[in-house]
Amino acid sequence: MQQQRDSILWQRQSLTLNESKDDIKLAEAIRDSLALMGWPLPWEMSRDSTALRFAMEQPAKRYFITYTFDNNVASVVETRKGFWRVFNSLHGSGYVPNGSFTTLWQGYTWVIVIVGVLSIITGLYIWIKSQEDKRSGLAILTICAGGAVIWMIKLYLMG
Amino acid sequence: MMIFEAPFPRENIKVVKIKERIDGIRSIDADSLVRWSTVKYNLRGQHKTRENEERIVIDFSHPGITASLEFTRQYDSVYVEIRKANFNMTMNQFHRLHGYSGGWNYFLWAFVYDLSSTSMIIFSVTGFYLWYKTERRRLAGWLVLAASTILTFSTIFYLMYN
Repeated sequence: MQQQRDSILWQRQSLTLNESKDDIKLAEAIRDSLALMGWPLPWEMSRDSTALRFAMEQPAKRYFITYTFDNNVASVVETRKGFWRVFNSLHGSGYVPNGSFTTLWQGYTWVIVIVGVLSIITGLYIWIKSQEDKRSGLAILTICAGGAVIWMIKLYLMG
Repeated sequence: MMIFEAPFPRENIKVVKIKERIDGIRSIDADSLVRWSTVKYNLRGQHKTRENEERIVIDFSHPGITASLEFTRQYDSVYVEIRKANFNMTMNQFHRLHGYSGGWNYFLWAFVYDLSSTSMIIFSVTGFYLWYKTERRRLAGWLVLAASTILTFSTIFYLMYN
């Protein structure tokens, strides 16, 4: 095993795979056989007569895998991204292939979105029902919501 | 629409693929190719350039229309893919639009976006303060807060150490 700054190189021998002609399916089979999490990247994948080479990503790590056909060996360069990159990637992140625990995170984000939307609706309802003067609130709401929509249209048409 | 993708599919409704020969790509720098692309294919928005010995790849992103151009030096050719997104994908692209590049339209968007993000952080901190000051029975709140914090850090460490 070789070690660089945030990368390590390791190998796994004698992988037993159903060799597919479809590069993505083969990459997924290699991933499963190595018990790794993540998505193989089709735009960073190449095959020749000797090997399939591909990159794979998950929020915390990046892999570059070379699988040689004649000896069924997978060489993996594993790069860790660090805590803050993972923290940042959790926004909008759902289920990661082979990462059964991430199902919980996906469910949690769904709950949070529903709670967020309900909070907006109930917040508006409570504000509308209140007795206080609403002119300044309405003006701010109109400017912010209207301004955002106008700016989106402007960016779409002329940005 | 952002989270529940299945009922709101994000799709490209039109994809245009073009392959062309351009003589002398080897002697043209990436910035010139960006300017040439914007005029030739009427591309707008933010762009990112990746370059190596063999090729230059330029990705344009504009809400609703994205494009990738791959210039291959060896063959003096360019492969262009221009994608027009459906409404759901366009909204998602607006949601993901960030960074202070692409002209003043994008700069202002990014600035207001950052202001909104800051206000979200302030809302959560002041919301926590208000809750703490106004509620006498806080057990349920502490449980929810602890559960979300534990889940967040468990997910991070699960991804980092598995």
